Amino acid sequence: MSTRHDTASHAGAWIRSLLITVLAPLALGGCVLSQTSAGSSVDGERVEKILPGTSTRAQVAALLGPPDEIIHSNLEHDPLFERAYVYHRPRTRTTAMFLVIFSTHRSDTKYDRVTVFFDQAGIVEHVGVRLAADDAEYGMPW
Amino acid sequence: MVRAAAAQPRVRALACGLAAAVLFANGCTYQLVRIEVGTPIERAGYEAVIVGESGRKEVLAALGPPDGIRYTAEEEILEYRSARHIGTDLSFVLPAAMLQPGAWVAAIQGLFQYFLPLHEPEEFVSRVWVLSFASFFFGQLVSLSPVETGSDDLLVLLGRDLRFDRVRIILDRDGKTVRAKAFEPAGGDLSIGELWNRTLLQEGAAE
Repeated sequence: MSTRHDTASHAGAWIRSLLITVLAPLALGGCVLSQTSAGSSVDGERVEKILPGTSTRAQVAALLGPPDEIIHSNLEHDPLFERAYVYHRPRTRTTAMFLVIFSTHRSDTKYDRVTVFFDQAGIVEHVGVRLAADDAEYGMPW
Repeated sequence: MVRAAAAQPRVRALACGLAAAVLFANGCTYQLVRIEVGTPIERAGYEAVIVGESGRKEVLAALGPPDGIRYTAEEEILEYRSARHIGTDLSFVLPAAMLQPGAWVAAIQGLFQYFLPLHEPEEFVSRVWVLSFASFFFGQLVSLSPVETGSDDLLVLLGRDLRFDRVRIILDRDGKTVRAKAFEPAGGDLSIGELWNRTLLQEGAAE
């Protein structure tokens, strides 16, 4: 009886070891959280200092720095007229999980974006602002 | 005690099955992917833009700064986009032999070239398929083993769904008045399950 009991407990220990060996890689699979940004965030207070009808291109550049993109309107008489300055700063937040045979990946990219339109004299006409980079979310893909 | 003894073989079988699954399923992977780019476009903001009345100022107030600006000879076009992508990838790592008919023959010939007589006797030729099959089987086991997955050959079933919400506002060239507007909604997202079913259906339809 004692021998049978020893055999059973030995088999139980063997099974436990095997289960741990098999399940550990599943439980300890890699999880990744990452955040990437291109450039610094747009400062909302600086954007508020841009005044339509008053501010100039130079003042806009002094407040927000050089634009990420310049929109030309290609007017026939002034093809290099700079119609708008665009500032866009993306932020991406990524969640990933790697198990042995199953992995998930989710990324969410949102932008801080400011578009400043100028009139023919180089004075600010309109300003469009959306500061949403911080709204990028971590999450699972389902 | 009797019940425990009876249950033990089942537990052992389960453990062995699980071990075998992890060992050999390493060759296949299943991946869920979701990528979102941009801020969702609100329908209310689009409705607030009135053709013939609103100007650029109102458009910017309702929809924010555009993702794209274009000019034609007479128009200023503001575009807004929001993209969503979901995907399911089911990948099988397979040895080259399964993807490239004839590759395994070359591999076998390379493996056995030192044993092949210059003039192959008929008896050897009649048995070479046994060697080929054995090598193929062994190669498949190696390629699916977590110890060695040297094969880069993949068979992948992809389910991809890329959708854009897109709004286009057309103004006169000075941005004073909206001439036209259009909203192209991407529709509702597919669930992962729907995408997976669609992928399988597409695979079936292609046959």
